[in-house]
Formats: sequence, C-alpha cells, structure tokens
Amino acid sequence: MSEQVDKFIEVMALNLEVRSRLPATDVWPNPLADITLANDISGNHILGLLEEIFESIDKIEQIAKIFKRPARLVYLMYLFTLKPSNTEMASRRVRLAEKMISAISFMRNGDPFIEKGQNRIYNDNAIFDLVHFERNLTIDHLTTLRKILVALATLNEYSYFAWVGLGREFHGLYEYNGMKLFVRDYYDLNPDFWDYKKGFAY
Amino acid sequence: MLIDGQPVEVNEEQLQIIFEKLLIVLRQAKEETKDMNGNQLLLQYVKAQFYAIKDGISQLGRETNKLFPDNLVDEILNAKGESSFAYTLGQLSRTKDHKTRLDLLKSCLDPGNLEKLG
Repeated sequence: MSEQVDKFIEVMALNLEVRSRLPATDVWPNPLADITLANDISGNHILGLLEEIFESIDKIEQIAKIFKRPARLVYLMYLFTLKPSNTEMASRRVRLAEKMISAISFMRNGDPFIEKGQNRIYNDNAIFDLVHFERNLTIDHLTTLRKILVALATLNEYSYFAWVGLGREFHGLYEYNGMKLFVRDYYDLNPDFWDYKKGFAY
Repeated sequence: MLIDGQPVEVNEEQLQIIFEKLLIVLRQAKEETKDMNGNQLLLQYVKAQFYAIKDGISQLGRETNKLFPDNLVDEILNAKGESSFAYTLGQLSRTKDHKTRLDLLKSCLDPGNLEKLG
C-alpha cells in the first residue's frame, strides 16, 4: 500500500471518529452498510425457490393467498437486479417475472403497475366492514390513532429493514357513500425470525 | 379497525391500550437490535427474504424451519467481495477503538477486495 493510501486511511479514520461523536450519528455514515448486498448471498437461492413455487402452483388465487398482499411480490422483484449467469437462466427468470407480474395484476385488479394511480385490493364487502366499524371513531381519537400509526410504521421498519413492503400495504382510494378511504394496512408484524415479537398479540 | 383481519370496534381507551402494547414491543425490539453488528443485520435481512416466501415453500413440502441453516452466519462472514465489504462497513460504524477502525479501513482498501468490487 502506498504512503498516500496510508495517509488517506489515517485521515479518514480520524474523521470517522469525529463524525461518530456528533448528535444522532452514533453510527457512520451513509451507507452504514448496504444490507441489500445480502442479495448476493441469498438472491439466487430465493429466485430458485420462487420458480419452484410458481411452477408447482397453478391457481393464481392460491398464489395470492401465499403472498398475502401485492407489495410482498413487488418487493421480491427487486431480486431481478441480480445478473443471471447464462442465457438459460435469463430465460427462466423472464418466465418467472412474467408469472409474478400476472399474480400482482390479479391482486391489484388488473393494474399491476398502478398506472391509474389507484391500488385497490379490497372488495366492496371489506370496505363495508371497515366503514361500519370505524363509525364510532371521531376526531377525539385522532391523537392516539396518529401515535399508533407511527408505532406501526416503526415496528414494520424494525421487522423488515429495507423490505417494508413485506409487512404493510397502503391501498385505496376507495369510495363509499361519498367518502374517500385510504387504507394503511399493516398485515404482518409478527415474523418468526425475531424474538421481540413474542409480546405482540396481533 | 381490522385486527387479525376481523373488524373490531374500538374506543379511545382501547386505542390507548393498543398503543401502549406497541410501545412495549418497540422497546423490546430496540433492546434486541441495539448491539447488532453488520453481519447480524445482514442475517436478519436474509431471513426476511425467506420469510416472505415461507408459506409457498411450505406448500412445496419443504421443512420451513430449515430455511435458516446454522451455518448461514458463517457463510455471510466468509463471503468474499461485496458481502465482506458490507460486513466490514458495518463493523467500522460500530467500533469505538481507533486502532480497530484503522485496521478495518485497511481491510476495506485491500486491493483484492477493490478488484472484486470493480
């Protein structure tokens, strides 16, 4: 290693030390560690498993049930940024991507890329239930509701890091009796790979 | 409000209880993650990926409890190139010791590592 590189390391290490003492910067810097690089370890294996799932399960309704919400499948499509190692693998990946988009389209009522600006995944019955049971909430509850929303968003981040779509889906707008509804749906905050969720009933 | 997919009527008092329960879980989450190093964070990230397709794997007849093999930590630790670089950065951000930071930086700037990073 050259003298200049040694010097660079020394200066950088000192700056890191200073930076780490600043308020709210206990850790340095951006990117602290690009955890998406973990895709290099797991991505090809997961894509292989996805191929198996999509080849062995024909019914799109069953696929929708497995993945619960479209955002989960959308996030898994980030794995396609991994380069295939040969043309045969590339062809298989294209087929898998097509099937995944079909499933997303099914779950999003024919608009997989939300080109109409709407992400409608609830049917009329679900909307009726939601509206019916929200009627007893008034403006007086907003303070607590806001706190709950922040807590849910934070817990979702804790659970999935950059994969926030694995635990939540924002969907709507729905129209009901002149009202417009936007749903913040935290549907899976209880993943089994964390211990802290043991005290969480929902 | 839908809880576990079921519509539930809630009043202010119940909302407050939900919020307090969430706070307890958040404190537990903070406690569990505060000392994690880069490697452990990578591992949790990978687990989240597997978790997302766990039900599908189960329907393939695979044992889902074998999704996270014991040696996954070692695999991440021993991974070459980009992954070890990410691990090093994670460690770098946590250490309070100047000499350790220097050593880690030197390992980041290892020419072999840089070649792999392109």
